[in-house]
Amino acid sequence: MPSREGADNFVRQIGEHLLVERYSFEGPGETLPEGTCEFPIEKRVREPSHVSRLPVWWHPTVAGLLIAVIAILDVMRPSASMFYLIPALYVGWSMRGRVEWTCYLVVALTVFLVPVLVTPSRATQTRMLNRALGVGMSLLVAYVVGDRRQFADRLQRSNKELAVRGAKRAFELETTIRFLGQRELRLRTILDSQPECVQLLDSAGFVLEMNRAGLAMVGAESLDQLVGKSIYPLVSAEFRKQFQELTESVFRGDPGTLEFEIVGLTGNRLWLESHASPLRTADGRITAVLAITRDITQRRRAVEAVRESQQLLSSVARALPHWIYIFDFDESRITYSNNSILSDLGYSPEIVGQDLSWEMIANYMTPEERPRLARMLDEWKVLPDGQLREDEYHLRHADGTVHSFAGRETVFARRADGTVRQVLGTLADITTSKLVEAALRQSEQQFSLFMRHLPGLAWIKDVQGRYLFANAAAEKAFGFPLADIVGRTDDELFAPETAAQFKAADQQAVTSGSEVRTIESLKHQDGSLHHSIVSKFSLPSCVGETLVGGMAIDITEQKRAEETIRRISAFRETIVRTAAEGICVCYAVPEFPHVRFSVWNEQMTELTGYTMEEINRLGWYQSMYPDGEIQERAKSRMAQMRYGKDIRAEEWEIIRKDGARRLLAISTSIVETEEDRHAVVALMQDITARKQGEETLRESEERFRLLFEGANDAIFWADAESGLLTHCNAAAENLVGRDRSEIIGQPQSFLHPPEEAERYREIFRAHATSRSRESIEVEVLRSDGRRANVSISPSVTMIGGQRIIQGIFRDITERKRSEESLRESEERFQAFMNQNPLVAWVKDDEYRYRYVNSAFARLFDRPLSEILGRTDYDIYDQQYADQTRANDIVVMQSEKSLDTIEKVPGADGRLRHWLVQKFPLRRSRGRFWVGGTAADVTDRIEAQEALRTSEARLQAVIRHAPNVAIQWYDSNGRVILWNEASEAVFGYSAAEAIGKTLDQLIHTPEETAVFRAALAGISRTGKSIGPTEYSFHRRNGEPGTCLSNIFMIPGDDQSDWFVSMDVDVTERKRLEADLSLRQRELLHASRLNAIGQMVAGLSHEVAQPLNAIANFARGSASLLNTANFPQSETLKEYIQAITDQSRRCGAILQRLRDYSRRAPSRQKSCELNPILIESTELIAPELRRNNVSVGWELASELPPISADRIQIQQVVFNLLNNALDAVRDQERSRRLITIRSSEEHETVMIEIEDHGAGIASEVFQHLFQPFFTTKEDGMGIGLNICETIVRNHGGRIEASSNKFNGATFRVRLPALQKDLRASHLAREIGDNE
Amino acid sequence: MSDPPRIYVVDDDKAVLRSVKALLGEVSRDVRCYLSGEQFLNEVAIDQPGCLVTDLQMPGITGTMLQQHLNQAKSPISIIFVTGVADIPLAMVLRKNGAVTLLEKPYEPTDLLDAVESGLRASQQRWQSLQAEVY
Repeated sequence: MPSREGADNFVRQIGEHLLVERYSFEGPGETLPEGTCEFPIEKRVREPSHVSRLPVWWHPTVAGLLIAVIAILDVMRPSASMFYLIPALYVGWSMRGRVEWTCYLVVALTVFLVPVLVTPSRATQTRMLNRALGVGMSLLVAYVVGDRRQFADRLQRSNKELAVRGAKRAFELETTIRFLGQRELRLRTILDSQPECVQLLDSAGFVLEMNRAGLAMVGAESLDQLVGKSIYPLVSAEFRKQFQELTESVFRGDPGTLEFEIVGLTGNRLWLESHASPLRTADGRITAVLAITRDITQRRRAVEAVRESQQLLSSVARALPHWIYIFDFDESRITYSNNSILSDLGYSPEIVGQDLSWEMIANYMTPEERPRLARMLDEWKVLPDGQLREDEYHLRHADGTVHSFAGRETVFARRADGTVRQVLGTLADITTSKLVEAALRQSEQQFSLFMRHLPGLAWIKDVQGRYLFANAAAEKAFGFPLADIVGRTDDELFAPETAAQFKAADQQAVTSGSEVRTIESLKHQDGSLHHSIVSKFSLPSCVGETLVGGMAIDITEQKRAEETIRRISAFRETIVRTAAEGICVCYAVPEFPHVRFSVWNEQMTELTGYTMEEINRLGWYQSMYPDGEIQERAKSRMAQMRYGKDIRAEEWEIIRKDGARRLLAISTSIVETEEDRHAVVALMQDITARKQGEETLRESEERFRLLFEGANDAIFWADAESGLLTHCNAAAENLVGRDRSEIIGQPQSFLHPPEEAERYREIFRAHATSRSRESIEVEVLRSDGRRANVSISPSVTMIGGQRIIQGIFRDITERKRSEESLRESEERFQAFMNQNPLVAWVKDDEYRYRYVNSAFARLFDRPLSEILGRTDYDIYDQQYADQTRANDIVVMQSEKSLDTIEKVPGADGRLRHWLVQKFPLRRSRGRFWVGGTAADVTDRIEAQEALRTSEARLQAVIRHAPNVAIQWYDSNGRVILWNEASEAVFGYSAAEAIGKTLDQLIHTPEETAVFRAALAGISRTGKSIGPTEYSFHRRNGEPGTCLSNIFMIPGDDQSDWFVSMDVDVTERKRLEADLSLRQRELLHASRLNAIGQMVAGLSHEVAQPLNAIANFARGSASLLNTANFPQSETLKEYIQAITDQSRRCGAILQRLRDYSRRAPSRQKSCELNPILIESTELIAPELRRNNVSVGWELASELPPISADRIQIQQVVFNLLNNALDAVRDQERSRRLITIRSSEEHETVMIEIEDHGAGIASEVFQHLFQPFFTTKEDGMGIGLNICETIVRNHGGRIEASSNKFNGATFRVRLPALQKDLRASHLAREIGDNE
Repeated sequence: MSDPPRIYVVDDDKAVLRSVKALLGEVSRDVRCYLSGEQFLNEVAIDQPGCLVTDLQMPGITGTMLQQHLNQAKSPISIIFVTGVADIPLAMVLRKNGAVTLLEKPYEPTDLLDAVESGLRASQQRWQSLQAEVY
């Protein structure tokens, strides 16, 4: 085989792997003889396992024998040293390596140097050295020859034949070697420049060849480091076996590929991919593996990284609660889904396991949702990259409920042409959150309602102290409109000290986290200081921060009353403390000292020498009455007292702290304290001195007796206990006309008329028990039977240990008589008072009732006796008594009358409100009593209360009416009320608006005039107006329109109120106007378009009469030329024809102009049939051109319709145009259109029937949709316009197939009702004017 | 020539018809008007010379159809077409079929007069040559 082919084969094989450019090699000029080298590549092939075919020992042995023979010859015949060349040449020829050479050297040196060492003869030594030199020279020759020989031998050895040919072909080999060397160099250069590793391996995995890239991969610096070594150790252990198998399989002839990891010489790890293929010799033997290896570490790493991230992503996707899917448009199904949404929706696994084709998904959508599906897919198709589409879907749950899902989609993959192939979507179940949201909203609403309707103040602040909410009451109390409160802090709203007070409480509420109750004071707008019980509490808010809520109830009145009471009790305290008498309050206790004092004034300490603490410690009885007997008596007296037997100025002797005796007059009474305990109030007077004085007094009694006897007035003494008369004076004897002996010993009643004895006994007893010194007027019965009126001044005295009542009787008969008339008037007054429904009373300076009228008594359902002499505290509970007493004190102190309202419960326990007038009554000695009248105003107050509540409710409604601006005006048009919606609509806050008239706010003078006229109209008729539109201007100057209902609330005194409830319709109006304008534009454009289409036909239509005119004119001219007057009739006829034709021309143009006019839409009463005819005339030229016949079936008497003539023409025109298109291509007999009009149930119907091809069934549903057309050049707006116009006219349009297989369009328009026709007519007349 | 030349006018528009008659009164006293092609064919002896002024577009028998009919019957009658919408291809077809003139409305009355006169002349010649062929 020629070597060229072998080389080419090699190149081809390499080329197959590396795809390198293919080189063709030329020899160095000379033609190589055939058969010089069968397979040049094999020169590089080493066989490490190769051994010499001759045994190693052979060459040195032969050489040694030769040397020995030569040496013997040399000994026998000296100077034959040149013969040593013979073995040297042999060695050089046969030498395989250093081994043989070394053997030769050792043998040769042994032969020559041993004799040198053993022979003592110098000549022999010299000779031997000469021999050695000869041998050395021959060795040199042998080395030179051998080296060259060795090289050639290697080549030879790989090829048996070559080897045996030997030196004969040395020259040829040289040439071949040189040629191949060059070729190899080129190949090597190519190989080395390859970026991939190219290597040759033998069957045992030893490296035969490797290019530079390969060396770099394994980290070797030169080929020598690798050649002759196995590649296996470099391959990672886990791939070694596979690698070996690959090598083996390649040697069997199967190429293969393997990815594996190596550990380079420098320890670097690389991932490699090897394509191994067999390298064949010319005869097909496989001698080596050609492996092309690529470094795929980067790729491998990238793949690893991708796989890792994919794993991560898919595990994340699986764990996500959302449904993630990929929809593929090519397959029209979901190709990826992290978990099935359907299992979340409760469908069984059998269903869920099925393929998620899009139709399947649609089954789970709600029926309403399904139509959206196609649209949704269309939207997906046009999604731009990177944009998320968000939508909400509703899917059916297995349990029948509908779940809401928030869906987001984005483009996932695109096709090569850029269209969307895959969409990635997620669905998240938001049903629960929606429900929660709704519940939250409701709860918020309830909360807000509740807060708003709280009667007290309520507000909410955030942590910064800004008001977030304040109800109406708070707004009023703060004196700011809500808008000004919200967002402000206390600092901005209130005086510094007030704000500080508020903030401290807020802080406390926030830090404590619980409710804090304080009393806060706030100066109201009117300047009055109000106190409120404020409850502050922290409120949780959705954003996690704490809010502070507050509620307050005004307790100013209560505070004021408390203040008064406090003052009263302080007043009392002072009195008690500084009284001239000893005053103390004590109560019994079971343990020692049996009595305990709670009040002990200074005078008590003065009297007894003990302080209250001392007496409580030592005991009253024990220290005051050391004598046991007296002590017991005192205790029992005390016990009696508890059962009602009050001590009245009883005299008790006590022992003072300093041991002195004192006589005290003690008076006590039981009082009930708040704790329901019976306490004793005791008054003590030191009467020691008085007692002493009494003795002196008694001595002077005699002197008094004289005085007594000589007194002008009758004086009687009577024993207080028995009532028996003990003394009387001379005047007394005269008074009764009896002797003293007759009088003494008689009961006192003896002095008085017997029929009233019982009364007098009562009076006497009253005087004996009370210390009253009031003089009384009585009748005295004289012995002669006459009766005398006397005034008795009673007095009680102790005379000789006996209580005596002394009565000084003065004859007042005369005075009495004059008083009689007075009493009569007094009785009249009494009667008057008692008949009066007014409650009236008089209290004395100790606030005891001295007079009450019967209304008063009825009120409490008690007898007078239970009221008179009592105080309010006896009648009412303390709180009410405190209130009345406070007012009484005011009157007493100011000495002026007082009008006030008092709240007192009646006999039935119901709290009643009284309008009370209290006034001072001047008494003697500068004292005042308090008189009062009261009228029950409970009903009025309650009515007021109810009204206030109702008003508050109304206010709340007004204030919170959403989007309805509500204002109240007084009869002068001034704003009284301006709700929140009004603020929003008009831009003025309530504070700004109230008190102003609308022309100061939102109305221009014209608008004001309209509004005033409206109010005047309402005022006149009393009827409400509306809903009517009014224009206005917002605060920022923008004009607006509102739809208002205005009505009147009649006032009591000619001051009516007006209420206006407005809805802002500005935006709606604008949109409507905009829409109607656009619609009109469209209609107009469409009409123009239609005219454009018909221009040819119309021009013909105009040309026709013009032509006729020209003809007639020329005809007339020619007639005139003939000057033939008999033909003047003909001339007239021609001129008439010219006139007619120009009219005809004008009519066509008129129609055209009407039709193309851009007119505002205006509906008028009009007849249908003329419209039909006119519309047909417009299209008539086209119809004629196309040989279309029109059949007319018009009803003779149609009611008029209210319509825009041009627009209805447009409808008919469009329908006719469609009909024309439908029949245009039909055979001539079918080119027929029928136009009908008829009346049916208050509607007028137009029918356009054609004999065309009809309407395909799938077209019907889209018929009236815009831009839907079946015509090639159609825009698809004609029928849509028809539908719009008909709808605007309150009519209907429909299409159906008819019996001729054509289409029939029916338009129904409402007939104008009879009663409206007149008004329409009137309006039209007005319009025309 | 004792008989005035015959002029036939066919048009579905009565006013136009009358106006043409008024115009052509100048040329001949014998102007006959027909509202449709059918009427014309029914009432006219087409083997006599004359000039036909006809509208092209008409319901029923159109101008083109009239021309075909007359050509087939080898009628000597010359045809002048009047049309609202004239287009070149149609004009070519008509001319190839022997039409004298195609006038587009509105035309100058003089043009029609000229056309009718030359049409009448041509018709006369054609009739004479036809007579010669026959005899």
